[in-house]
Amino acid sequence: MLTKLTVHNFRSIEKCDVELGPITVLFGPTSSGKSSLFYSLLVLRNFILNPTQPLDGLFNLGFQNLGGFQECIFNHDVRETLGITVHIEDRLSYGVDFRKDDAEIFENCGSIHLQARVPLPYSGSQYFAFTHTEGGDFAVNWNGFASAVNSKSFYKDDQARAVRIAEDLNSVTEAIKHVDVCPHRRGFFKPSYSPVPLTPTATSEDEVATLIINDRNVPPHISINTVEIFDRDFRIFTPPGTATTYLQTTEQKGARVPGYLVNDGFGVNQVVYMLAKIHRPETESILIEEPEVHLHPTMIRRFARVLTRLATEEKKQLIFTTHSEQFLLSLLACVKEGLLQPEQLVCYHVTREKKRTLFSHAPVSRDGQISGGLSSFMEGELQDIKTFLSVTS
Amino acid sequence: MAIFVINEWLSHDSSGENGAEAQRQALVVIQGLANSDHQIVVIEGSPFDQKSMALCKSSDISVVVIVKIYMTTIRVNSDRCVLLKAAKAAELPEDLAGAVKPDDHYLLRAQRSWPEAVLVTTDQPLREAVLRYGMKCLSREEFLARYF
Repeated sequence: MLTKLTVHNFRSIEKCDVELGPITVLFGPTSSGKSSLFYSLLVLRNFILNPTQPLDGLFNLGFQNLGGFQECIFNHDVRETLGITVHIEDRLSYGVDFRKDDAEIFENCGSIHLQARVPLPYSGSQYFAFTHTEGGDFAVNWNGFASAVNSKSFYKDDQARAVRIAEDLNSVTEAIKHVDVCPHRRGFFKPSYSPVPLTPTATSEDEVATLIINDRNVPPHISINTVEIFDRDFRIFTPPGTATTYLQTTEQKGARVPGYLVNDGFGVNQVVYMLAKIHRPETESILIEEPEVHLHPTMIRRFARVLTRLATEEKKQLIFTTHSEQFLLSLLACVKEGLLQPEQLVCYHVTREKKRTLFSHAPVSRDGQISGGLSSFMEGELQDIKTFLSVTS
Repeated sequence: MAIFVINEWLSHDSSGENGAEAQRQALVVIQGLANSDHQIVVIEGSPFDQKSMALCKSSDISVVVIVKIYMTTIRVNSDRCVLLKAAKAAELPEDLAGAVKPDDHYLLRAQRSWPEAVLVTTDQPLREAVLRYGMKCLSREEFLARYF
């Protein structure tokens, strides 16, 4: 699980250190910079997956093209460094400082510190040699993404330790590769789909339908959750002899009358999309923008409870942005009920001051209370009710 | 920073049953508390808590919005609301328990659980009993005048 994200000079984020939990919620006004934190992680993932692309290409997230380095660096100052670092617990971290023409890659694993400056685009074929002498004598060869560790001794224990060090060193970039995203633009707009090749960030409806079609375990997992949330089955149907698969829901679980998902409410539709991405076996951490959209408050509550279970029982790390106090209240209620430990729900109030995004940690208590409350959601309603009641102060 | 125990007048005023002016003042109190350094002590499931929750179901949109503001800015705010479990709230000495109505015991238990807490009430006999016992108490009007 990713435990911290450190970012500097990315879009409106001049500098931030954001702790991540099994469930992390970023809430705050529109345009405060919540999504920028998501996008920073995806830029780093882009670099790891495809460092050979030009620097500007890293800012094309697939579902959204943010422009290039100049558009994304804080204050558009291309002389500055744009840094993104991911931490796993206290001992593992991996980060890249991007500059206009090169990048400084660094990785820390306990007492091992790897660092290299590479040109951009980077072929990934350059190897940097390090030695590690704690508990043995080891040679580390690192290309900025992956490490090979060899023991200089032939003892079995030393060889095994070399394997463990390599696993540790490679675990951070592997974790970053397994980050997925559910952007705002999501859902299914056709009754049927045929499998398509998947891009590294599979977000189009055809790609997500392919994830559902190609993994026989995903549809039943989705169905279990849609029954819990909407009392509706989800199923797929492929007519024999065809490569076309229909996405279907039943109108009511008991009715057993299937209809096309595209004809169901859009709330159901986009929840199926999110669940498909969450249940993807490769997904370890997933960034979900506004999970509450198109959902009635009752369904938001049920969805929050399903998400809580997916985080705690299936160990999916869920990171949300939200504009819904209902969604956050539902998660807080899960804490109060003991379904979620307070430390498992990490909340940040995100604001923007003088063009800078600020992330303020809002600790959650065992009683399901949150420091600072949810007043940021109520500012509009407060102004309106004061007008209605003629409150002037 | 002060800590208050507020009895059910805040819910009644919020509901509008005590008139438009009282409802306006209830909103001012809720907003003022939310923006202040003060805290309130609430026993979970107490009559005060239950009445606040019940207002969520009001058919009057103004009432629903006021109580929503209370819930989101104070009740779930660990900086503004100290939640106590009824079983863990301080017990009342027999003489004090005998001097006030049983329905009001929860207020005094909340207050005695937080020694600096000030009871804010519209109930004059309750107020007299609390003051007689050396505990701090303000009337609604004193509370409004002093803090808002």
